[in-house]
Amino acid sequence: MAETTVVDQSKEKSGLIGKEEIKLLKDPLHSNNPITIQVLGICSALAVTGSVYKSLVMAVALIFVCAMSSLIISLLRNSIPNSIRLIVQLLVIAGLVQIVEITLGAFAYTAYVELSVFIGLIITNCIVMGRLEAFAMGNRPWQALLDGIGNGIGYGWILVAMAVVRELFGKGTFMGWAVMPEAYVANNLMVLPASSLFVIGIFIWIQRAWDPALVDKS
Amino acid sequence: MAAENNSNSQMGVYLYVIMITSVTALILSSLYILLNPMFEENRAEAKKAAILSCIPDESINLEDPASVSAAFDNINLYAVTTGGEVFTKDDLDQINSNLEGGAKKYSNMTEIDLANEEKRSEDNRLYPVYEYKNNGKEYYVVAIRGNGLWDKIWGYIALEKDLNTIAGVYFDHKNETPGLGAEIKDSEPFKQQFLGKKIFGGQQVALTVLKRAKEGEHYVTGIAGATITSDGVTEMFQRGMGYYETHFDALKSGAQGNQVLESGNR
Repeated sequence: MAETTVVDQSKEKSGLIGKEEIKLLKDPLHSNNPITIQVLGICSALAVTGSVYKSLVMAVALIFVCAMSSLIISLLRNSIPNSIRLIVQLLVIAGLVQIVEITLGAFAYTAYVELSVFIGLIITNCIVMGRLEAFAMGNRPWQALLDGIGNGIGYGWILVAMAVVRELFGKGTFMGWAVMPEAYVANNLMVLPASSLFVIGIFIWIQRAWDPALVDKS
Repeated sequence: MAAENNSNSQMGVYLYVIMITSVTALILSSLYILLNPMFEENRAEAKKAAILSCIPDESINLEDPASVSAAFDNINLYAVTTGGEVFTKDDLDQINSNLEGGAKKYSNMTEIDLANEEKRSEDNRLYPVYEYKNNGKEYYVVAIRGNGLWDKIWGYIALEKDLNTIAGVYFDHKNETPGLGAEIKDSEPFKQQFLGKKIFGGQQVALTVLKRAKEGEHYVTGIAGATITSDGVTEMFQRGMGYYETHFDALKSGAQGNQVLESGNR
């Protein structure tokens, strides 16, 4: 709990979107990205990035769960008994994930079938619970919601970007449409889960080469 | 931090847990009741589309639910036991009267499902036959189910009128590896190989998936790197088609078998 960040609430803000709020949305996209900087949520990043469509659905689902759970936990933060706060957080996440699963089954059956267990596994995605514990428990609802959205998008865009690379080289397609010239021989290795390890690695490399401030000092 | 308030007393914590779980449960169960009918409908649609996908009839548009529904009306659905006994939709009560091992009841013949049938004892299991007739085309689609590398695999096989030549296949899996075992579903070239192959050789199922197919009408080349899934397909074929053999023999031996069906279904 000691690590919970608290946004400076001393000065009253004039608008809903101030500097702090923009930072909450922007930081997770690059300088504090949950996947490439914090290296969280790797399991699903390995599993669902074989196709762009799958990873898009997964990204939207995670943004929803992350944002809503942050909002709910922040609203409840002063009433949650400290001794069971992790359980309450889990309950909220699990409930939201079930909502996503039931809704997908009814309205997007194809996505439901393709993602199958991975939707359920959002519950175990460290990003969601990490944000609740590290941010939502100590901040007001609006800020918590923005933080949730920011981190969801930060996760989502890396996921989709990886999927674009893997689907393009693994199947020669984008969202199922053939884009590579017919002579291109699909590289099956890119479809296998192992390839996402080095695709993530390459992403991290590019990001740090581009912004040396992110490189860990040894 | 989440204030050290009086809700931290033992009783307060219990009350809090009871309250928050009840609220969550209430929300989830209402949503489930609201949306589950749509989910079941989607699932039934997907099953129909899967069955129709192995029938080579260009007039079926699998993307269009209305076309799927219309095409499915051309199917005469009945079920057989390994002993060759035939059950039609009029026998639904009889089918449901014998629910061993926790097998679920069917409210409709289309719900017949091998996963559910596996709960019954072997002699009582029902295997669905989808007899498709449209514009002079005639196919028999049957269902098979077996084991892949990680979990179950299953499929529908469309047979020509001779009940031996494969006209189309559909495979699916619960959890095979993408790019390897999952290719039994995704790889068109793999599925294309089955077309025109013969299931039976002599008195037994001869169709086999091999690392490299031998010459002949019974062999198909498996997925490279997915030997266990490929062997699973062979096993599923050889066992699964065997269940239908008695019934097929009855159909082939001509009028007798057919008459039973005609009178039983219309």
